[in-house]
Amino acid sequence: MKKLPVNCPSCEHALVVSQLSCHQCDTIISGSYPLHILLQLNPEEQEFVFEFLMSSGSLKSMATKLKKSYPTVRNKLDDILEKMNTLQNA
Amino acid sequence: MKTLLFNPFEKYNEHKLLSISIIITCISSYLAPIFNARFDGAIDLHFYPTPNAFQGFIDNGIAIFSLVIVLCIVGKIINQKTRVIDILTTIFVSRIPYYFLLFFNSNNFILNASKDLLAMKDRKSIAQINTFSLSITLVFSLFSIAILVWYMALLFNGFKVATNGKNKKLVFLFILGILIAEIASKIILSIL
Repeated sequence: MKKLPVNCPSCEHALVVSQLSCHQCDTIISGSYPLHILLQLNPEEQEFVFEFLMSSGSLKSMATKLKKSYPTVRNKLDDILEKMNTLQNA
Repeated sequence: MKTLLFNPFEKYNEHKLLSISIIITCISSYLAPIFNARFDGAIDLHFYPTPNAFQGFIDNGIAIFSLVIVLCIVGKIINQKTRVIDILTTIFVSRIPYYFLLFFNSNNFILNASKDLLAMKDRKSIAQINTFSLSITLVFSLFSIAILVWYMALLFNGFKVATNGKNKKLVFLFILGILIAEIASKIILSIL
């Protein structure tokens, strides 16, 4: 599966969406759309957030599912929240 | 295997780890006086005759109590979300390697070897030195250092998982916490 790059490989600045296209009629929309904070997370972190939502926000069931301990899963969530706060304030 | 030996806190359920480690601690506390061993401090183990059959429970209780109180306070300073159960699990599990050392003193093996070694200081000739006792004490010293490193590695890894601490602050507060717990346990033991 292709990974969506979120940072510029040249200067590491956050990338924005500049073109969207319709595969049905070939319409192309150009502009400058910033990526949502969730999309700026790396694929592993996005997967974690997805699993968190799929577990209805229960870290205990997530820990069981991921075969990790509760504090390990909670720490991962805390790290992601910290990163999201940093991205939000950037 | 590496995770199980050095950082089980990352993977295994805290209730399971705590239950198993409490059982092992109770068995070891019962066995300690039988092997003439005393856990007389947060990171101590000495071989000498114990005053009563319950001394193992008293010693271990004080050592664990000191570590729990100090590491909980330090843990809360690092991260407000630190849970007491994670600190408890860390302490109970990390002490398990220490209990292996008990078996070295079967039939007062280490106690007699160290007594023999202490008696050597009065001997004049090198030929009078008991090389067997010297070798035993040396091997045991090296093994106990390895066990101490294992104990500290488990304690640090567990504390890191419990607090989600990072960088130098975690290392500094952890070392400070261990030293305070060691001093506190010694003071409590001297009072009792």
